[in-house]
Amino acid sequence: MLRISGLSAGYSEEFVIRDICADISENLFVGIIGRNGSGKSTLIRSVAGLIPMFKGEILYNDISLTGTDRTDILSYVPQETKVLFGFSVYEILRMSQRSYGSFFGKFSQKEKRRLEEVIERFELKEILKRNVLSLSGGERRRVMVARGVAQGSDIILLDEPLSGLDIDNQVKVFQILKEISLEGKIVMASVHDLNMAAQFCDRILLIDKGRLVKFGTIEEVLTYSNIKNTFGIDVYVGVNEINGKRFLIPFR
Amino acid sequence: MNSGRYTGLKIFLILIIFIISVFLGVFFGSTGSILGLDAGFGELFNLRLPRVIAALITGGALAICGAALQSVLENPLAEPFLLGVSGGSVLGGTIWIVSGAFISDSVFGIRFFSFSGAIGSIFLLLYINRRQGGLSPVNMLLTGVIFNGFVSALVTIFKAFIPPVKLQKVTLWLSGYIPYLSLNDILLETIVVLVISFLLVLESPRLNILALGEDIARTSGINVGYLRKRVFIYTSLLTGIVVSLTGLIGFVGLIIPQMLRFAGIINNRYLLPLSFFAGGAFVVLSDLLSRVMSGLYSFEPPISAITAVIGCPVFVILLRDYYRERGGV
Repeated sequence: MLRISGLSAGYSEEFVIRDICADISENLFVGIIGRNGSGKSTLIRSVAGLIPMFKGEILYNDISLTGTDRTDILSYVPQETKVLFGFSVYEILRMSQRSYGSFFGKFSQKEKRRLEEVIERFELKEILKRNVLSLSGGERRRVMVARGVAQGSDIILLDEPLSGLDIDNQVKVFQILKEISLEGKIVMASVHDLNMAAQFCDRILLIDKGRLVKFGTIEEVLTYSNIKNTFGIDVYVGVNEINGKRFLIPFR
Repeated sequence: MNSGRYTGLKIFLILIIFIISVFLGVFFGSTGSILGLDAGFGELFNLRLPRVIAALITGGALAICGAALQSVLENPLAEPFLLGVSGGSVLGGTIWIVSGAFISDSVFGIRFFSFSGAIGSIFLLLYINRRQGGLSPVNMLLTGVIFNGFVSALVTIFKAFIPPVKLQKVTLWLSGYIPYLSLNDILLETIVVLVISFLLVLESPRLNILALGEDIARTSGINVGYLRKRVFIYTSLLTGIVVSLTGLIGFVGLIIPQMLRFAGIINNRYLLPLSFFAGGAFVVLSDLLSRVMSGLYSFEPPISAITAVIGCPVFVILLRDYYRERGGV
């Protein structure tokens, strides 16, 4: 269980998010939605420990994440990764393993198996030896998401994992993240596409101007009034007859 | 070229080049003649071998520093002389020449003063950067560039006080000069350079992860601030040592790691040690060329001129092929 209570954070004393509370249990895929600049990235980065927390607490299984080594607990996939040099895809995946960080670290069998699993899952076999800088934007994004998953942590935090992906890759990536959450992990991702969130996420965390509007199931959060109040647009909220999930169409 | 392919072969080739250049450096004399015609074993081991070792640790240290700094500053154009430490070292040496020009002509004076200048500037730069939560790349580069600018202005002012006879010495040293020393003279430097270079190599896996960005590195269990500080101190010490020994030899730190990357050696685990060997070989060969020219034309061109004249065109050719193959960075 990941417990975020009263979390306020931001950059150099300026609050970006205030008093965010959410209890997230295992097996859940949580989508964070909100307007541009509402604090989605800040929320993810503060949970990841990348920016200082001004107030509040983040507990994982009742242990505070402040000051603990989070490597095994959570992994983070940034919105954009500027890889500096042309490493091979395999090398990048290999870097996610704990043994990699020390010069004499030995690549364990367990780590090897985990990498093989991720390679298969993300269909990376074909491009394993390719130079990461020569990949297309979509391929590179897939590799970086795979790297985050390969770290083997219990919580996976992703900042806009779908940006720049075509519909096919969007579905593939979210499908995998959904599967991974069902294996006992917590997946949290900021999402712009409300329909993708409605199709794949189990819970939605809606924030506006740095404050929590609503945290709950799709049915609880993705309603006409919540969307109208947050985004200022009219949407038709329908139900997909095939799978019973909600969908949203903006109208004027 | 694909990254990671034929790595073993590439390592082998670089080591062969390294061994050949050391062999050439030691056995070829100032007129390009081989052993026996102009040198006995005495000269070989007392004069040339130490000079080759000095060239080797200079090139090796500058290249490995360049490779490490390019990762840590997240900038492929980074090189050891950008940090400001070289400026401090030059200032120290110049101060010695200004004051000591009238006292003695000892080669140790200049080395001691310039190394002290390097150490002083390391502390100063760390002090200036102390509030940044462990050295941000932008701050490191900016303070380095500003510090170098300030120091080179001071050097220019000091030059006015130097008698013309000694002025040439400063100019020569500023453009890189590998002295004839004895083995004992450079023993300490050699050991320290090798030890620090080894410590840098140990950082290489963390430098790889840092190349994926600071956020990923931090969430992969790396204390990025301390990593940057360690690499800054190691590279500054190495730079200080080699500048005090051989002056400013440009381009090695920038082009050697880049050339190796063009050749497909991306992983810092290989790149750092191979930069050391390739940089060492490069400076040894450049020094050999400089010595041969001094034998033929009784003028010894500064080593920095040779590294630039050879290095730059080779670099441009490699860069062109690299873009042609890839169509981009």
